[in-house]
Amino acid sequence: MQIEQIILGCKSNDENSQKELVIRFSALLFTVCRRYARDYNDAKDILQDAFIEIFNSIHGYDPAKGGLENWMKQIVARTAIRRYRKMYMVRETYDKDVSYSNGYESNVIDKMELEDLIDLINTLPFKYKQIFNLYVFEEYSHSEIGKMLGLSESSSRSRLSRARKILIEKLSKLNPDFKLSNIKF
Amino acid sequence: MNNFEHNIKDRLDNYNSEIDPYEIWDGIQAKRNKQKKRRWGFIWLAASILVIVSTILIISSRQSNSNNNIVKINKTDAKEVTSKNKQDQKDIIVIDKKDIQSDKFNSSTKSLVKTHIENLSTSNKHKANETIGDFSVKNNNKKEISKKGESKTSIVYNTNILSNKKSTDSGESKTIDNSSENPENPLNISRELINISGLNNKLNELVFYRKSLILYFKSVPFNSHKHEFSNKKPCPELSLAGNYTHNQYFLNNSASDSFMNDVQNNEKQLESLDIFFGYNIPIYRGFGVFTGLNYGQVDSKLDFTFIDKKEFVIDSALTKIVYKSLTDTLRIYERAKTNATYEIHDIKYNYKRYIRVPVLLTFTSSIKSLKYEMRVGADFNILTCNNAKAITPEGKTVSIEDTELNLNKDKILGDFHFDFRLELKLNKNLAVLFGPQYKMSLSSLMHEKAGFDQYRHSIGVNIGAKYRYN
Repeated sequence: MQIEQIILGCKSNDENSQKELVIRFSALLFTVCRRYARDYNDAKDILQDAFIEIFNSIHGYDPAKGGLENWMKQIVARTAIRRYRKMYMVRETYDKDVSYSNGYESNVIDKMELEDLIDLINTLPFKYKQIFNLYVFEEYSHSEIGKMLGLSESSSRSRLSRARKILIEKLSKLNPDFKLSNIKF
Repeated sequence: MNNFEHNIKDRLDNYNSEIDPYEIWDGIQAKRNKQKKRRWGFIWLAASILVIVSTILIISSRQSNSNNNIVKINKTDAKEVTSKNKQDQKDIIVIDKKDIQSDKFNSSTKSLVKTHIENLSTSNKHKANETIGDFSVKNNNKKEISKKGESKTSIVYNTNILSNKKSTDSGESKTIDNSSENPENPLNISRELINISGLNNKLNELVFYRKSLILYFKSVPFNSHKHEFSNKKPCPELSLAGNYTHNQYFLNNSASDSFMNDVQNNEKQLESLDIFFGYNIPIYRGFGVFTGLNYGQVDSKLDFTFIDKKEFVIDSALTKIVYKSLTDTLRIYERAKTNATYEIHDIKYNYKRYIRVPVLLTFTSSIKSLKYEMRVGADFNILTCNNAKAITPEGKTVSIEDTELNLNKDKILGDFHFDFRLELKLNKNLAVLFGPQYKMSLSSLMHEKAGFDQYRHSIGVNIGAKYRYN
């Protein structure tokens, strides 16, 4: 089934088309969920909610404004953020240890397992993590993030900066060769 | 975005996590079914509430109508007299002259009654007296009206008139024509009486409108650290709402003439201003208890008055006739009673201020961004009496303090309260709210002799804004 057909089917509430969309894009969108979610099960839950949201709002999807993947990723990100706002998440940090399967060289990020990289991002406190994800992966500007989260632009900037610092510190601890001075800002 | 961030993005951009898409699809299906059930549950809840409220309204309305048909006759005021025909004794009621004497008795009513009595007497070869107080009616299977002496004037009435059989002097039985043309038809008598006396105009419903300003605080859970609402810490919530209520009062049959005149001569609108401070205490999963203090002040030319009848003494002959004739002639009965009795005191309480204390069970939940709240419970109204007046039999109004009546003037009335509100959040702190409100007064359970029927329903609308103080 062509993607255009799937979109048309979803717009007319056709279950087969919806199922096809889920099968094709679950893996891709699940990665986005993993970046926001506290754990694997939470990520699955977010993905299910996001797909329901996608089905409900696919009438508003305009291919001329961008690709379907990006549009869906944005919905997933918004769903994840809304979920954690709704859940009144109290826990700020996760003390989960990040283990790496390989040794590290200077460009430690390139050498990291992708699962480990996701886990590393997940160690960030939520308020930093959501801004890091929105800025880096969803490519929102600080003013857009500010509007979305009810923050000022400068708060968004400072939180991103803090997120970056925490990640680098964690990477430095894991690999002494990876130093702040090596990073070009 | 710097190199560090680019690096991370590039690595993760096209990464697909391992996930079973069929498991996700099954989860989606399950969630959608749950949502449908929840939506139906909400619709069912709303429909059930609508049915309950409608049922209460219908039942209460019928009760109100049936109350109008209840005639309270003081049997001790009527005396049975012996009859020549022992078989008919049980049907004969004699009422003394004093019972129906009244210089205030409506002259048109008198003449109408007299005309009808004369019609009866003519057709049955009986006589009618010149005045209402000076005749008596006897009907011992033979219908007759005979003049009595000055010292004892009484009316004897045979309830057989209601049966379709009556006997003539000769003992022949014939069927009474109950058609609308027949002047003997008691229905026609009572209808004419109603028209002449103008009671049908006086017995209109009273429709009051109440406008309220509601200001209340509500405690809601708030996590100040996260700037999110949580189950951890309470925070105050301030609501400012206007309330517009449509109240219907049905006059009951003990409403006095003076009150009726007030209603007719003044506006039929009663406006009140309420200022309300309330506090909601969350208990468990959206359930809570709401209480507070409402101060209300009535602003109307029409006194918001409750009337107590001190004494009901006796009934007139006319009312007996009508009572025996029809069930819907209670108005005539009451009219006659009011006018024919010297020993009635109306006590008017003028209530312009009241304090209301609601005790309501609340349930709050939300569907997406639309929050809804239901409140069910009771309002206790404490009416503080502005002034109380007693109406003498001559119609003179005197202060209650000038009488020997020892009455408790302040009253506590109860209302059943139900309201449903929807809240639409505009931003983090501000929301608009709107929704219907229904109240049913339980007051008449506590005050049987109110001036108007307090089985009243009020339906209103709450519209307002809410500010949540973080």
